[in-house]
Amino acid sequence: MSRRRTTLVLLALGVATLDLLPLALILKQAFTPERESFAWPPTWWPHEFTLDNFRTLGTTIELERGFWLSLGVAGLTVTSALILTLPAAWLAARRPRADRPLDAAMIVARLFPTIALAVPLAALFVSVGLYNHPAGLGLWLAHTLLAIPVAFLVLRTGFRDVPAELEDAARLDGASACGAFLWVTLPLVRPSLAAAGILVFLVSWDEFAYALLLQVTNRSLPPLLYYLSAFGYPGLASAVAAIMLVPALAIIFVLEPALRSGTLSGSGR
Amino acid sequence: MATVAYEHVSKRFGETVALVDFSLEIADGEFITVLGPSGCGKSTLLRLTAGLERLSAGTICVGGGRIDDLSPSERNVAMVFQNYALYPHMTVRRNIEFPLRMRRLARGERRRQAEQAAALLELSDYLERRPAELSGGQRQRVALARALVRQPALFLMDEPLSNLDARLRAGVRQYIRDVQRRLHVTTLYVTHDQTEAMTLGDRIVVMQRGRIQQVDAPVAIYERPANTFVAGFIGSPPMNLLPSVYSDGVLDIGGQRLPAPPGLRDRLTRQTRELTIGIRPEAFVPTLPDMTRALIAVPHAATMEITGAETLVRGHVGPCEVTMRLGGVRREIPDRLATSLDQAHVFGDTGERLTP
Repeated sequence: MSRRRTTLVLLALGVATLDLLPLALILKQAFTPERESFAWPPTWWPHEFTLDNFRTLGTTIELERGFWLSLGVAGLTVTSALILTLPAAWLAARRPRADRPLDAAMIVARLFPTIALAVPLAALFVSVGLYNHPAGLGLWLAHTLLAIPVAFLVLRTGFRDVPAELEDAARLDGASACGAFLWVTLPLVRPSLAAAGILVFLVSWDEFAYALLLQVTNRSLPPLLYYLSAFGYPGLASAVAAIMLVPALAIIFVLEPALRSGTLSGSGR
Repeated sequence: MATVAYEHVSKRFGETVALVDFSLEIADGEFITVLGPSGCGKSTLLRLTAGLERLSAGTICVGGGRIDDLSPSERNVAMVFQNYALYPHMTVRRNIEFPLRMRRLARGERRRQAEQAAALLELSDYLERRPAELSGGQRQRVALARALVRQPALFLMDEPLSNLDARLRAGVRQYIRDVQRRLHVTTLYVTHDQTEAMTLGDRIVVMQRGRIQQVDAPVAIYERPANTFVAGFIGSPPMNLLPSVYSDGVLDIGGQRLPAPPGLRDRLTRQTRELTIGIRPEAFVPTLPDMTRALIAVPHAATMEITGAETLVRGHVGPCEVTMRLGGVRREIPDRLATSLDQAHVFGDTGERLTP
C-alpha cells in the first residue's frame, strides 16, 4: 500500500471513529443498567446486558404514542414537502427568470431561528386549534416549512441534470406537458427524489424546537428524549435514542437503491 | 406526408430578431435542407415548426391546415434532435414505442409497429438494450426509428449527424436519404455543413441573420449563387470575391483592365460602379485559348497544399488574395494561372447577383 493510501485509510478510520463513538456509547448505555452509565472511570465495554431500560420506558413515558406521532409527522412532511417543491424546483431549473425569486424565497424562509418562529406560530396554532394537536398536524405544517428549502435545493439540482431536450422530445412524441413530466422527467430525477426524501425525513424526525414548543402533552420523540436526559436518566434517554435510530436507518436502506438508480447517460451522444 | 407552407413567419426574442419574414412552400415528400452559420435562425425555424416556440407573426400550414396554434403533441410533427434526446431510462423498444403509447395504441399494435420500424433501421437485435449500451450510430438510428414509427406528416432534423465521427457520417447520411425516399415523408433538415445540405436536399434554403438568402436546387445554388453571402458560403474552399470597378464597358480587377463580358455590359449603365467579381478556385487553369482577355493570377508556389485528388495554391491578383484549385498532384505550379471572365460571377454593390 502506498503511503498516500495509508494516510487516506487512517484518516477515514479516524473520522469514522469520531462519528461512531458517540453512537456506540449511546447503544452501550441503552443496553446496560443505569448505574454502569455513571461508573467512573467509564467502562467502554458493557459488563452486564439488560433490556431493563426499554421495559422501564414503557411505564415512565408515552413512548409508543410519541413514536407514532413522530413517524406520522415525518411521513406527512416528506409527502407534502416533495409535492409542494416538485413544481417549484422544476420551474427554477427550467426558467432562469423564476430561479432567482424562488431561491430568495427559500433563503428568507430559513432566515430566522426556529425558536424565534415557534412562539408566534404556537400563538397562531392555538387560535386555529392546531396547537398540541393529537396527530401533530400543527407540527407537520411547521416541519413542512423547514423542509421545503431542503427539498427545493436538492430537487432543483436534479432537474438541472435532466436535459430540457428530453421534455421537448416527449412533447413532440405526443405527450402533454404533464405527461412529459410524469413519463420522462420524473423517472430521471428519482435519485434526487430519494435524496430529498431522506433529508426531509431526517429534518422532521430529529427536529426539536418546534416539537418542544408546539406540542405540550402529545409529545413526539425528540422532546421526550430531551426530558429524559435533562432529568438524569441517561440509560432511558439512550434507549429512546436507540429506538429513534431504527426508522432513520430503515428509510436510508429503503431509499438507497433509488439513490443509485440514476442513469442519465445514453440520452445523447 | 404532406405539403408545408410558411407564410411571413417571424420570430423575435425580446430585442433580437431570430427569423424575419420567412416564406416557403414545401412539396409533399420533398427533402429540404436549411443551411446557414450558427445564429442564422435555422434552429428557430425548426422549433417554431415543432411548436416548442411561439411565432411572433405569420402562419405555418401542414397538409393545408394551420398548425402554428396547436401544441407540439397535436402537430403530428416528429423531430430528431442534435443530441438524439433518447429516454435513457427506457429500452430501445420502449423508446420507439413511446410515441405510440402516447397515442394510446393497443399493446399488440404498438409492438408490431415498433418492431417494424426497428427492422427498417436494423435495430431488431438491440430492442432490449438501453441507450447507454449503444454506439453513437445506433443511438442515431433509434432516434430516427422513434421519429418515423408514427408516420409523421413532417419530419424535422436538427443537425442529426454533427455528433457522429467523420467516418460514420457519410454512411448515415446516405441511410437517411434512402429511408426518407422509401417512406416519402416531407423532411426539413437543418445543418451548417454544406456537404450534407448539397448531398441530401432536393432544395437548399440558405439563411443568414434570420433571412432567406436563396432557395434552390443544390447544383443551382453552386452554379448561380444569388448573392455574395451564398457565393462565399457554398463551396470549399470558398469562392474568391474580388472588388472591382466598372466604367465604360471595362472592369478593373486588382489593376488588370479587362473588357466586361457582353451579358454583363447589357445590365449595367455606362456610369462607374463598384462591383464584386466572384471566381471559384477551380476556375483557374494554366492556359486559355485567348489569354489577352483572361484574368491572370500569380500563384505563390510555397503555399501549395496537395491533398492527393487536388492541389490548392494561394496567390494574388494585384493586391487581392486568391485561392486556386488544380486537379491531381502538381509538383510544379506555373508562373501564372488564368481564368476567363465568362466564368466569373458578378455581384453588385449590395451583394446581389448581376450575371444571368
